[in-house]
Amino acid sequence: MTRQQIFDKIEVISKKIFGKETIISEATSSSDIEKWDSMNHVVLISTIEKEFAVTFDIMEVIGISKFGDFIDLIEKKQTQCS
Amino acid sequence: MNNIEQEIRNNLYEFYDHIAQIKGIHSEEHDHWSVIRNTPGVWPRIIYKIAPKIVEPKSAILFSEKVKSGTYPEIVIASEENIQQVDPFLRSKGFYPYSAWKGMAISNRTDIKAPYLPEKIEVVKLESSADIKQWIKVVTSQLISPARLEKQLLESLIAQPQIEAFLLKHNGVGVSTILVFNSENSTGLYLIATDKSLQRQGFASLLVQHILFQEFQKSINPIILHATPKGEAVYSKLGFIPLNQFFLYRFLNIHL
Repeated sequence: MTRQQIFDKIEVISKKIFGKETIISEATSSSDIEKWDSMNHVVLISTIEKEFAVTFDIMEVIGISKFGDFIDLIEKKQTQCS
Repeated sequence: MNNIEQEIRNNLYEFYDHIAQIKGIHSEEHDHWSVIRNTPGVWPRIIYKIAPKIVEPKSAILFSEKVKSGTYPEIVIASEENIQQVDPFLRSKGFYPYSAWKGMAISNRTDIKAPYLPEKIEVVKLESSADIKQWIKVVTSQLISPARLEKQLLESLIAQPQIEAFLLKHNGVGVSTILVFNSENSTGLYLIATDKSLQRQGFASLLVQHILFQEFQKSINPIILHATPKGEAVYSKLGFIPLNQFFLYRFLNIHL
C-alpha cells in the first residue's frame, strides 16, 4: 500500500470520528481538531489498528500526535511484514 | 529513603490514597489495584496502583467483572514498571493507551532564588471562598473532560495538614493553580493549570518557581511532579529531570 493509499483510508476514518467536514493533512495534529480529545484518540487508534490489521506498541501510541505519525508507523509495520 | 523513581510513584499513589479516604468518595482497594469511583463526570475517577499480578487469573476475572459492571472509571494510570505485561492485559479489558506523563524530580538546591513577582501578580494560599471558586474554575477547564472538581473535595483536601493549594492572580483574577502534597520523603506538585486564554505567558512557570523556593526553605525532600507532554519542556527549564513514565489509558466504549 502506498503512502497516499494509507492517507486516504485514514482520511475516511477521521471523517467518521471527527465529522465529515473535517479536512486533514499529514501535519494535522490533535491541537488542530477540537473534537480530538482523549476519547476520540483511543477510538482513532483502535479503528486504525483494525483497518490496517496492525497493533501499535505502547511507546508508539504515546508518540502519535499527528496523522503523519500514523502513516509512518503503518509503513514501518508493512515493511516489517513483507 | 527510597530511590527517587520509586518516590515519584509513591507520592502519586499516596496522593490518590488520601483522596480515596475522604468521606463520600467511593473507592476500593484490591490486592493488585486501587480505584477511586467518584460520581461520573466528577474528578477524580481513576484506576491506579496497578501491580503486575493483576494479570493472574483470579485477579483478571475480578477486574473484568468490575469493568463490566459499568461502575468503574474510564481512566487507568499505569507506571512503566512491567508495562509490557500490563499493557496487553488492559487492552484485552477494553482500555487503550492515549497519553503519558513524565515523572520528574528536582532535588533541594541552595541556588534557587525567589522569583520576581511583578506588581500586578500575587500568589495566595487557598483559604477564602472566592479564591477557591476561582481555583476550581481554572482547574476544571483543564481536566480530562468531562470532569469537574467539586468544592467540597477541594476543601477537604486543603484541610489536611499535608496539602496546600495556591493560586497565582493577575490583576486580582485567578490565572494559575497548584496543589502541594507533602509525603514523608517527597513533595508532590499536582493540578498545575493555567486559564486557557492566558496560557504560554509564563504564569504557571512563575507559580512553580515560587513554590520551589518556598518548599525548599521548609524541607530537604525532593520535589516531584508528573508532567503532561506539553508541560515537560517547561519543567525541564526549571531544573526538573525526567526519570520515569506513567501511561494513561481510556476505556473504549465507542466503536465505529
